[in-house]
Amino acid sequence: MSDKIGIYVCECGPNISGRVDIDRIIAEISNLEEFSDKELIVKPHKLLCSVGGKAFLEEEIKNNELTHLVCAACSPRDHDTTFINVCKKTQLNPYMYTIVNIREQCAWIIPDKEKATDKAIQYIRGGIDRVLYQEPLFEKQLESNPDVLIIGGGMAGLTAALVLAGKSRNVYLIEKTSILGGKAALFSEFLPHQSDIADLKNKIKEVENNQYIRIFRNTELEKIVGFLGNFEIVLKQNQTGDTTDLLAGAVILANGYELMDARELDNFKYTDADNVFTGLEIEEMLTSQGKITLRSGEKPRSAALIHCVGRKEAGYCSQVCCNYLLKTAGYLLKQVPGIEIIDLHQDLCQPHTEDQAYFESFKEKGMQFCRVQEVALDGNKIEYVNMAGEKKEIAPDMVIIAPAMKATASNEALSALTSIDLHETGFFQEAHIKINPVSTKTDGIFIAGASRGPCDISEAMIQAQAAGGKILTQLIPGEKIIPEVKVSEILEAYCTGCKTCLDVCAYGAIYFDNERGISVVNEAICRGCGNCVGSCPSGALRSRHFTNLQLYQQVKEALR
Amino acid sequence: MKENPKILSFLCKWCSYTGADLAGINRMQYPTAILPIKIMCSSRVDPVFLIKSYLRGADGILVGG
Repeated sequence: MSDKIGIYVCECGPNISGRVDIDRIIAEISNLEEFSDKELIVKPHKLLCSVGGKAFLEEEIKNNELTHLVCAACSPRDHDTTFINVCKKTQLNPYMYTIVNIREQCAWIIPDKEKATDKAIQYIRGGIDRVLYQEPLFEKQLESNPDVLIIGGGMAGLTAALVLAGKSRNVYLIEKTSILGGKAALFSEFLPHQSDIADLKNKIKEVENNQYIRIFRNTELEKIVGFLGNFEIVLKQNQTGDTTDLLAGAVILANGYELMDARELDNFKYTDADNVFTGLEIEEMLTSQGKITLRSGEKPRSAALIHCVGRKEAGYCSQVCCNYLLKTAGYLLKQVPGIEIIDLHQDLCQPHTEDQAYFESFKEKGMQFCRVQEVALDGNKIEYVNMAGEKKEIAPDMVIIAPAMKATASNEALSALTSIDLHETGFFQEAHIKINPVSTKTDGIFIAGASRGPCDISEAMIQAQAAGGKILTQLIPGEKIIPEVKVSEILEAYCTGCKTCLDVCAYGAIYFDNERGISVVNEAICRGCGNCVGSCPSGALRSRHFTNLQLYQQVKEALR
Repeated sequence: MKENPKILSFLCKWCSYTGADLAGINRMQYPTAILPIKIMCSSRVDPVFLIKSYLRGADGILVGG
């Protein structure tokens, strides 16, 4: 079968036709010498992406029995998919088509019509040369498992589990400890202006009684391999060492945070005998004994709250400490009328709409707020430098500190198992902080709550709901998964087994076949970036749809 | 400097290619010397591409990613 190339130039209303000479393009492209042995069909159209334009294109492909298609139009970001979908309705394989961007990167940037026309012709020639070297690719359809594994039974994990179970999804909820609720389970109260602690207890009960949620306590992830829709998972029970094999289609990492140990800091010296407590220790004390006391059992008459402990060392603000230290002050003011409380902060962080009023209410209760430049602790003796540069010393009965929230050691372990990157702070790295904040670079693995960075309970719940929503829309029961076809492939005969590709693959999509001594690409995980192709010293890797040959054709035309 | 230099640019489809689109959307102008080639990721650029491109007459190469 001889090559029959259809080249359709979109006028895009006046967007393209007003700035390049469409007639000259048609005339010159129709008479290109280097393609004289091929049959070229070159036609303009007013608007290819319109209903009429698509129908026109479909008819053209069918009636002319095209073997290749070039659309000279807008950016592929706008209408690549549109034209691929047109191809799918015809006999033409969609990978035998290419779009040439003569709008954003030609018509719109060159004011001179002649020059813009020259450049458009050059681009289209590159497109024709490229499309001749393209090859048909075929999409595969894979069965998918709609079940979800959630790692961490804290606020984020519980919330996500209920979102998913609400749509009858089977959820496997694994928790490292024996208790559900995470750090919040230690709390005696939530922030009074946000919610009631009873909400947590109800949520735990709801999760425990839900027929779709299976809870694994004292359990950790042992192994995970696979991709969106098909993860093979092994869980391990901490106490018995028993393992459980599971299949799931998606995973949410919601393994929480821990507090920095302030004693690791140079300027914080205290022992367990001193009356120095973290916010969490105060919560534990309240939950276990119902009141806040000094270690001697007496009531404190004065207290200092120290914010921002280790913020400089951690390199970030933990966002939640300002509010929870105020909550702690609330406990003290209620239990010990007349107690003197000083609040030492470097900055105050009150992100929610109702937080400011909450903070103001403490000013009215006679609490003293002092912004400091530096603060050091030795036992219960505090030395601080206020904003006027004055050095002061105080020794209150009780000191309550807010150390930075930090990533748990389990982040590192989970990162090694799932190949999800860690941010330099140790928290999980999201795919994009604004565009894709609860997704990761691996399709099917999501992050929610404090394992992706400091956040309060309400934000952890928002993230968990977002992750749950993402899974409900991406992983639909009965719907097949179509993996990317423009991926890397290994030409086995050329592979020398040097493993360079294993090191450079950011997605963990390449594994090594020890028996055959070669690398193997897992096409379902590969995203087609071509990093391995660029770094393979023996030329054994090939990037489908972006092969060396295809790119060289474009280079050749560009440099003609 | 040459009158019509040829600056080959390998643009990552996620960032710099999109950036070039944005320049167009904002009707910015840049020299016709820039010759863009879309790739899936700047890491796809094999060093051999660069050598071959220079041998073919490129005056400069921009790898955007």
